Amino acid sequence: MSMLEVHHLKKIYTTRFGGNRVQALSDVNFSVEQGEYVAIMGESGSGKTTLLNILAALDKPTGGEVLLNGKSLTAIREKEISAFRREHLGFVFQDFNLLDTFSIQDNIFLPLVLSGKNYKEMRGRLLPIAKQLGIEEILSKYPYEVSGGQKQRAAVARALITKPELILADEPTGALDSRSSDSLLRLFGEINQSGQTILMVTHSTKAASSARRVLFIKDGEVFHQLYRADNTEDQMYQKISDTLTMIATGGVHHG
Amino acid sequence: MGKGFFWKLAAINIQKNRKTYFPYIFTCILTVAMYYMILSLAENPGIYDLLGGNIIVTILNLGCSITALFAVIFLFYTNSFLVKQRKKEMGLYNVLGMEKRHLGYVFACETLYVLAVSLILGLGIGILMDKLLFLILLKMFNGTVPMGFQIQPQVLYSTSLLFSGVFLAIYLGSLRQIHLTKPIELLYGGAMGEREPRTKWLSALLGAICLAGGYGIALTTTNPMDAIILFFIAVILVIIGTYCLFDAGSIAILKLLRRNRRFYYKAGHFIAVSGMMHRMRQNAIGLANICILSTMVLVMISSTMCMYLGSQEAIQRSCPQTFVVRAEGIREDLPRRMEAILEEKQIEGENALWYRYLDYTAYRKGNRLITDPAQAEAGSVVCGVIAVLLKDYNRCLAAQYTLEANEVILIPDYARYPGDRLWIAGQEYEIRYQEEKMSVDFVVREQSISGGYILIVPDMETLLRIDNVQRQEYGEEYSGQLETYYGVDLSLEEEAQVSLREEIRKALPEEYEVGIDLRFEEENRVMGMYGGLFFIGVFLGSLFIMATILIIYYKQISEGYEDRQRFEILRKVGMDRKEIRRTIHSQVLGVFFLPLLTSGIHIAFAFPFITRILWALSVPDRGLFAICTGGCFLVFALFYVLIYRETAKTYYRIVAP
Repeated sequence: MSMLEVHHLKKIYTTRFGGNRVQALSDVNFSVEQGEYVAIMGESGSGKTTLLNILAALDKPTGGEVLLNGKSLTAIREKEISAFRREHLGFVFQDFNLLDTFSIQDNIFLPLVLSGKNYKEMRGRLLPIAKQLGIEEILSKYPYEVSGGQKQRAAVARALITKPELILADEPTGALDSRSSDSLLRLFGEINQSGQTILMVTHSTKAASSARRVLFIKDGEVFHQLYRADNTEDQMYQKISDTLTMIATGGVHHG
Repeated sequence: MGKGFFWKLAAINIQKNRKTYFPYIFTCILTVAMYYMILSLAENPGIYDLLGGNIIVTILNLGCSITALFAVIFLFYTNSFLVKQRKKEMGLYNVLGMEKRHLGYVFACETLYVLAVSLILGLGIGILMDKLLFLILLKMFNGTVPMGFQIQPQVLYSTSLLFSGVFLAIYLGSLRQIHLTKPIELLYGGAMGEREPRTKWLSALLGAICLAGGYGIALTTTNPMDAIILFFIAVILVIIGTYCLFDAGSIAILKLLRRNRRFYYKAGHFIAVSGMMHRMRQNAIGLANICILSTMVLVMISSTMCMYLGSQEAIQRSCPQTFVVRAEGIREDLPRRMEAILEEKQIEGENALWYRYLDYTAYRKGNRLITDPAQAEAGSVVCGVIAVLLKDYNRCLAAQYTLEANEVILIPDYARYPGDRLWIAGQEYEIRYQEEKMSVDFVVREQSISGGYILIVPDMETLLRIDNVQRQEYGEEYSGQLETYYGVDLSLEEEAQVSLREEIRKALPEEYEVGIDLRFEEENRVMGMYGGLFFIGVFLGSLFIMATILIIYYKQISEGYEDRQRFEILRKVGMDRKEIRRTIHSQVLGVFFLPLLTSGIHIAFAFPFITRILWALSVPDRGLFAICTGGCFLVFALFYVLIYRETAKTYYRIVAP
């Protein structure tokens, strides 16, 4: 059984008075195995963000279902959904989403505090992660005192600290300079190496080429997918570029 | 761009920003209306005909100046808040190619719209309410109601002039704000970086000391001489303390809480503590302002209300009969002479009373009444003493009390009961008949802060001895006087009473140095002053309450826009809507009720102090003041809760759409 299964996912937005209907996702099918590192690519408006929001249980699909370890996200009751999100999913966002009112350490602790963990346990979990991410020095600082790259590492630490089954990353390199991007992607590679499943949505070819598999979405459907297999990152970069060009110029469906 | 375009844009802007603009316009309208009303009352010729018209006019004029000053500061403040809110919008217009000059036009149009609406509606409401207010004032002073519905053009004119000036200043202020900022700053004007507040331990400590000092003074002052000055010192200390504690103390406490890991890392506390810290940094001064303003409003309204309601007793005490004659010294022939004059004029009097008495001040220390200031060190309280001869007391009361030479009757007058023995003028007396309340309405012309005693002495010898001692120990300047009182209730016209007073003055020997008090004059004086103060108290109180409410509302709204992002993040990180709603409520609750709670504490500490001052103003009824204070606080809290609910609703709608 796959860790994450997405079956016939469909999402239609209607305006408040039911006037306009916009189909964001028409029929999305894919699955992610335990320990995979998957990137989802697509242009603006292709439905990436909608897909991610549904996977994150922030939004409900119009049709189809999402199974995480065999459990349907749509079947979770509203009351439990926040706790579910806290315990099973980790998030990394484009704009970091750190709270200025908390120090970096407290930002990382946030999901654990919400789950009612005590300080000792939180601290115990934090130390190895902080070491791995190289943010031990800045734990007591505030978000506005550190660089963008450091903020994003803190956000990654916040996602990891709950030991989630799946990390969802939404354009994690979108607000970073190229050096910080490189180091963040390297970090994602390492985290993945240690067994963490990652699903990343991006439209950066560079970011996508660090993943083990890339899914392409177009017009609300999975249009194509690439496996990295034994390719180097540069070769993968080239392949992704070619695929994007093909999609842009209106190529045929490869499945 | 045509001129019409700016007018249209301005109208659209006001419409679009109605959440912040409508309360502002509403406030402008009310402020105009209130200013018009108070000015119109002050200028109303009918007011002069009221009881104590002169005093009321003076008080009303004072109210006018305060209202005008307040209107300027308050509207200016509110508008600067609005402009800050709209920086992003202005930045956008700027980026889209509107010059600052054009923004200036738009602002001019907006200001003119607001001015026009405020003046038209404000003056309209003012004219309607003016009559009502005048009727209330007349009712308060038992005046006769003149017919008619007058509009005073010069009042309309000065009100319009004042507010045109205020709006011009507001406009210039906004213009300055626009010119000082660059488009990119305008775009991001709302979201400045947030710094972690530093703990100002020194300031927090200073605040605690000031507050403790102020409270200490309020609780311990009993000496009437120091009371007024000390009251101001206490008020200033408490104000400084409030600012320091809101600003530094709150953050110090929150930091201490944060240091306590077991407390801090709990889901509820975690977000609340950090949120409050952030909020206090921005709002401490504003909240302290609200706290002080509401404390002042409450003290003002409750004490003036108490004075107004207690004024009958004050009049009764200082003027027990409608016609009161006091002669200096022991004048045993005063009643006979008075009766002769009344008989000659064929004036019928009722309830005539006469007695000889010594009215002086003493320090009570335990069961000793001391008149030597050198002996009255710490631990003694000041009290007024009225010593009356037993013979006179028996006559006034139609009673047959008897006293041994070493016995006295003691009647505490809003004062504590010292025991069953009393030391006066170096001699010990046994207290024979304790009475709970004054059985005869003796004249009490000056109230002491700790109340006083009526002392019934057995014979003239004792009275003279007490007088001698106090005269020696105080010296001529501060000592009390032996006097003879003659009071009678006359049913004469007011003019006839005044002319009778003149004739009695002439008829009585010069060495009597008579003082004649007429009840109706005393009534006019007291009611005019206390009634006027109460009226102004309520008037300014409602103005301040309106301001307080608006300030809080705006604070919450502006924070709502800032907090929106924070709560969005919390939701993404895994906080559910219910928890968010709870967190929001606890935060809004904290911000809202911290000032109310603090002002409640301030008032509680001020209570004994104000009771003493009211005492000195001849309003000794502590129970009445407690009711007035409690009632005012409840009404205020009720308003507060209503506004809180409305604000919390709006805030929640902004934060969690």
